[in-house]
Amino acid sequence: MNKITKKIQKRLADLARQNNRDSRFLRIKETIVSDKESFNHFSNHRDVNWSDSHSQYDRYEAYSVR
Amino acid sequence: MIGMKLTVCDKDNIPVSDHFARISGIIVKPCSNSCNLKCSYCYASALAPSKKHFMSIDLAKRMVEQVIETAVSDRVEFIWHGGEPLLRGIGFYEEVFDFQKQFISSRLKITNAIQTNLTLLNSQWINFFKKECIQLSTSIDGPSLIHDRNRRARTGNGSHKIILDNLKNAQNSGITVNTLTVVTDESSNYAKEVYEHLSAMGIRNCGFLPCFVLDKDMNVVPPSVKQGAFGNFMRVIFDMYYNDASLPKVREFEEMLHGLFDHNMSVCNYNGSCHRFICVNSNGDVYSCDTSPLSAEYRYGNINTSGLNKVLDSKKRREAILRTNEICSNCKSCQYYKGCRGGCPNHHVAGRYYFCADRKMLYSHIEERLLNLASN
Repeated sequence: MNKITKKIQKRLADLARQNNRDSRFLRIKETIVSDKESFNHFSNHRDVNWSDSHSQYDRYEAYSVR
Repeated sequence: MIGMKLTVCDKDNIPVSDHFARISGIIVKPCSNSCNLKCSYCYASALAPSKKHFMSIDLAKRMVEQVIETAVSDRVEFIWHGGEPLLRGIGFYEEVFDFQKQFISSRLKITNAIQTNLTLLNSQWINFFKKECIQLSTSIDGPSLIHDRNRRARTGNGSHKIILDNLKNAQNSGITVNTLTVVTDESSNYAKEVYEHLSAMGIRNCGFLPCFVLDKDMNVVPPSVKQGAFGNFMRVIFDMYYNDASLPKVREFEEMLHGLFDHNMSVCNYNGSCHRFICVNSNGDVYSCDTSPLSAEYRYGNINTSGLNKVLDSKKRREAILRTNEICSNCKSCQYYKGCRGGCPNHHVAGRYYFCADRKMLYSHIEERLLNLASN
């Protein structure tokens, strides 16, 4: 894991911000750059998949304002 | 030593007593392991009691109260699992979800996730899930030739057609359905076909689990995927995922990318968060996970007789946490440890993570792709 150094992480994130057409960068962008850190604290169990964290967050909001 | 209390820590050296209250994932088995399907590799089917037992509404409400009293986290997640949770009937969920709502506030959010085989889905369920904003997760192993090999009804008929029909009905009503795919030794040769099938079915988020079946002597037996074959399967899928962003998101790759970028990880078998989950069976017995055998050895206690606080602080639970830590000490010198944490404890054989080489192979593959991309 130490091959992806901080410098490489930064370069990939910067390239991902600039490349909106290349699928490879889009994957990094949607997963790494656009993801909101706060969502990552939420635990997810391997035996259920609702990994669309943005939808999850929308649902929390929908519930909490009721 | 007399009178000293041992401080039990998790893999991050956080005292367990601190994170009792941080439990946010409650796996509930409202029908225990009862299911209308009989999948050949299913751990729940092998563990199913001979007699059906459904959770009562009163017990479900007591469970909700106790979980909320115990939690200091701002989010509580109920995962309705099985067996097949829809067997419990819609009335049960209507009453329990309504009961939960009185506890929702600006400080506490409650979510419900349902892992269902979709075979019992009808318009009544669809309307209910839509109203309650429930996101569903189901199991599809690939095209019918692959799926129906193992995922069959008790009559022996394959379940692929009914699942896909009901999946379409749910999707047409605006419900998002995510999938889990169990990879067997046979299906590991068809990575491209499986992933393309999920994409063609309109799935946007999928996950892959290695099939892992043990016999009574703790030997890994068919249809388990062989060591190495799971890693190869995932490598093929990673390259498709990476080169075509229109294909479904894959939970495992997103998790590993987070790991490689030093972000927090979220899935239990990658971030070692086992102990932040508990499993409550239909009679109130509490276990570490839905994959634990429903036997006294793995039972922490019962929420009816002891209450959840006592169960979480039980000697058995502390011992179980210590055991898991011991297993993972073998892995701590591994370069991928922080993005793996020893994998799922239920996938350990003789103290080693059975899919260790597969995970290393995949991490290395992703690293190589990222390094190439960075050097462009």
